[in-house]
Amino acid sequence: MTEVGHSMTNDQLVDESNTSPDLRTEYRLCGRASVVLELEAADGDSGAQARVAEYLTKDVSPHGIRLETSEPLQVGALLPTTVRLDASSGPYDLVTEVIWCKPQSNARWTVGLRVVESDGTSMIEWLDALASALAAE
Amino acid sequence: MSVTSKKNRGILDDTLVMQKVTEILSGIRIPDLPYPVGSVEADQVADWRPLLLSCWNEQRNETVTHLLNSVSITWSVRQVNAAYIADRIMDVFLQTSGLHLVLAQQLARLRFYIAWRLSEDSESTFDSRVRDWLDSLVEWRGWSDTGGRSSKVLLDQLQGMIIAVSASFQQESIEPFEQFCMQWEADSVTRNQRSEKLRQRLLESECGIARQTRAEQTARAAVGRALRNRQLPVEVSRFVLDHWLAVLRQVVLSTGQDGEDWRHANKLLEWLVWIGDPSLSDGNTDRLYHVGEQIGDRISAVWDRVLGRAMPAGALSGVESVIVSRLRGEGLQLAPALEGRNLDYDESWLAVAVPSAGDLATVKGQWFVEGKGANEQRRHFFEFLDDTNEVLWTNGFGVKLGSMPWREFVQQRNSGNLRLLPPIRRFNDVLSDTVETLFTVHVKQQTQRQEAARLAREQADALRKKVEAAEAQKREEIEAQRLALEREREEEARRQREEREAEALRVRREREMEARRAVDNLKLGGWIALRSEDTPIRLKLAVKIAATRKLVFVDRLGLNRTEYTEQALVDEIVEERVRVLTSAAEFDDTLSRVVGRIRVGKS
Repeated sequence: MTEVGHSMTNDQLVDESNTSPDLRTEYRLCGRASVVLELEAADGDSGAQARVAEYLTKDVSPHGIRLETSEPLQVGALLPTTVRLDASSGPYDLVTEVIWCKPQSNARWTVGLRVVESDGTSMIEWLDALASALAAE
Repeated sequence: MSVTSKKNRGILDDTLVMQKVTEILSGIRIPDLPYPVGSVEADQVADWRPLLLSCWNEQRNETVTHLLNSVSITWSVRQVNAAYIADRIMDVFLQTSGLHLVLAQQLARLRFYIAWRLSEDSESTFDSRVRDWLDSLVEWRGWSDTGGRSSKVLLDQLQGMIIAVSASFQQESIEPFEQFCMQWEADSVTRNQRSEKLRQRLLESECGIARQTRAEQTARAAVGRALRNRQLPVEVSRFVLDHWLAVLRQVVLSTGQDGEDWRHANKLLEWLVWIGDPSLSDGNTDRLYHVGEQIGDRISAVWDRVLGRAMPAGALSGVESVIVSRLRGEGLQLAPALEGRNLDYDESWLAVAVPSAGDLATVKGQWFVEGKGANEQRRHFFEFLDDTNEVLWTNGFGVKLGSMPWREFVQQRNSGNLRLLPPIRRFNDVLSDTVETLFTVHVKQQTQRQEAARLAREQADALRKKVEAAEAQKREEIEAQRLALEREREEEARRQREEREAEALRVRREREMEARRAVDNLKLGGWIALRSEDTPIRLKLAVKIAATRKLVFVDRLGLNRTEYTEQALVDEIVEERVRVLTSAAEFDDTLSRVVGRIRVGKS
């Protein structure tokens, strides 16, 4: 069992940019939100169904998401992503790019995603929702 | 604790501390904790009291944050932060409290209670009674898990804590635990009073024993040193061991080793050995006579002074007979002075190296520990016994744990077997330091969050404008395309119109040419038909004036003169208002057909 935060310095508690390999300079809001990733698209020719997986975030920012997964994700992949922050808002349909994927000691992986701006997604609503979450007490 | 003394100690005002705690609870975010990202409605917040109570009743050794992470429930921000603060404060306090691991583990489980109270009512969580109770636990720094009666007393009391906290959980009230704290404090007062008496008594008795020990050991050391390897008449040995040893002991007890009595008594001891040992005094008859003459009185005098009573009659007779024999030059039966006497002695008692006041000051009254983890044994440096140069160890409550020679104490410390317990930190200090640290982080985070929220809104607005601009541009493009298409259509229509006009013109010209030809070919008597509503009006060319290009037509009767210029007639023919009739027969058939069609059209 790992003690959390007790040995962290004040700066580490404030700014997580030193604790993960992604290069986000945006403020990251720690918290769990539901993320559904479409890992494989449906194939009309072969009849294969889409393969999706649901995970929980560790932190979110306007253009980034860090989460823990049960399998490694391919860096560079562009994945249709649905995020739900809470029961009363969303879900937000986004496109994310896998930026980094790091193995953990418990046979799981920590993954960094970049939210890609695209038409046909809920990008504006996502930014508005995050702004509200960040501003909330 | 008075407000004045609090201020003097620089402790944060309670209200201010709790205000900061409240703010921290609602806002701080610690990495890797299970916060919700969006909002959690009040009626959706999970009731974690039963879970925390269960952990408390099971006396589980895990942090509250670990518990939250292991359960798939949406926790509120306040709950997660309450868990974190409870864990942090208890861990820091117990790490620096110096308490034994077994105690620290038991007390650490209060984190479940503290987390619950912080989420319910942060203002009352660190009530002064609770804080004072936590601070008072430092008196148990010396507690070791010896399994003995005194160590079990504390464990039994802590069972009461388990029951009290459990009752607080069940009754959803701080009352039972506060009652426990108050009772503990009352018990502590009683205990301290009792301990003080024990300490006093222990000190008195140990000091007394130490003085006795010192006197005994020093006397033995002096005698042992004097008689070691000596061959003496048994009378001398017996006097020294049976009588003079006691005198030496009493001298040390009464006046120590620095006084005249000790010097005299030691000198007399030396004389006794000198007298008895021929190897020392042979060939020195004058001196032997001189010493022999005085020693009896001197011994008596010291005896009287030290023991407070006269030497028993005959006590010195053996020694006196030895003196006489020596003076007479008679041979004496010698024997090893210490033969048959189990005199345990240690000459170091004669020159004890006393530690400096400075050295003592750093260790006296301190807590030390030997061993590690659950096997730690703590002991309190209660007193340094000058007489025996020993450290007197207690359990902090006036119960002796043992004594240890100073040199052994120094050795144990230097080897690391014996370690000083680090200075204690009061709970109030831990609380205020922790709150200040977290509040600083919280304020910084809030500033960054507000800025991040502003940036996110700006990005959303910028993106919204970009989308609108793109849509507007698209609309413009579509409109431009539509206008272009329309222009093309208009152009096409115009072109078609022009073509039609050109065609019409061509047709008109062709017709004009035909009409002109017809007019040119029209001879006098040639007939034309004028279109009318009923029957076409037949006229024949009566006059043709080439100079003026005028044509005069009349009807069959030569009447209804109608004049045309050639051009006018051509126009009339082109406009189909006039038709040139060819031969008379064709003219009649044609006319009949025309009349017939007109009649059909009318009907």
